[in-house]
Amino acid sequence: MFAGLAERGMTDLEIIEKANAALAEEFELDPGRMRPEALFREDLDLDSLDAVDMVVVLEKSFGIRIGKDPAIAAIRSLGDLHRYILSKKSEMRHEG
Amino acid sequence: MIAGDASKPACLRFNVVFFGGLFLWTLVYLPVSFCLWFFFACAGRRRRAAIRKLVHFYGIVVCRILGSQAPVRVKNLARQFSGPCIVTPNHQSFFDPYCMGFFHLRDIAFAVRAWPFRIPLYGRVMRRAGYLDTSVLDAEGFAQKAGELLDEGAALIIFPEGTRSERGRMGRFHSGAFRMAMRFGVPVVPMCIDGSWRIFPKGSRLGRPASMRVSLLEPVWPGNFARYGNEAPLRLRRHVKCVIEKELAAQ
Repeated sequence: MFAGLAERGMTDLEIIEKANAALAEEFELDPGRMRPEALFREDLDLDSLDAVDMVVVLEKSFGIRIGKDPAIAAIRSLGDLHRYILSKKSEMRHEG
Repeated sequence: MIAGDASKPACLRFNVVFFGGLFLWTLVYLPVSFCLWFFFACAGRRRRAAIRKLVHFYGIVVCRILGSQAPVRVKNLARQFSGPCIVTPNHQSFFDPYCMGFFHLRDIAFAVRAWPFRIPLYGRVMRRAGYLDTSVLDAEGFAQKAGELLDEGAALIIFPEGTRSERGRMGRFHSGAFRMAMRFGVPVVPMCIDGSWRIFPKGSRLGRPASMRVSLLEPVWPGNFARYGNEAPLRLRRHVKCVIEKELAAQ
């Protein structure tokens, strides 16, 4: 869980790097294109079906459950995704 | 023979024979296939499946025309298999869909983006055959139509790269085909096309004589991946890509 990551002292930057690495590996993305402002559809060529895969990859990488969280539908860019993950981490820390 | 080796007269002969043959064959087959389709329809046979089989026969002859001008090596490891499945070829050139004409699966349906549907006549036939236009279907709509085709016993052809690769280098695989296989419990039949990009390079209107290899590989059953839960389509996708990569690397 994210709470666990926080307990292990994983910083925000490390979480972002881990998320980027997982996505780059799964979708064969050029790390150079993985800037926070990169749009999934236009810049990274990821479509709605890839979004389903992305959830699976993030759940596996971070050991969390995202499922059909409606907030996922609003994510357009890599920066949006980073903010989403960090907000989840923050939520988990408060709940923990 | 590689693209650079082909002399100008050889290229000219290739293009005259291939595109001339394609034109003449289309001209001859169109009325014949319409009569056959009408016969099947009147006889109560399934119309969509009849069109798909007629299209397959069209492809067989197109493959023969190409084979007369360029050496094609064909390997079929799925000979024992028939029935509904999802065939996943890598994609190198516009000729790749015709490559199904080298194999025994006759009831074939393609899932393609919008532009082939806009080709006069071809588009009309494709709609009647029940081919899937991925640009207008959402995920659920696509799954429903794919399920109908598989229920009819068709082999659904999906190019997992979604577009032609550059100079034969395989691109990223999307997971739609593999999600369909998991959902409907039908096998994925990997197909490896090696060299069609040399014959019909991307961006060129003309072809040139070069060799190619086409392999239909052993079916991969989705049940073997079910233990991976929601990660199963991704695992299946990686496995199939790996199988095609190995075949591409083989001589």
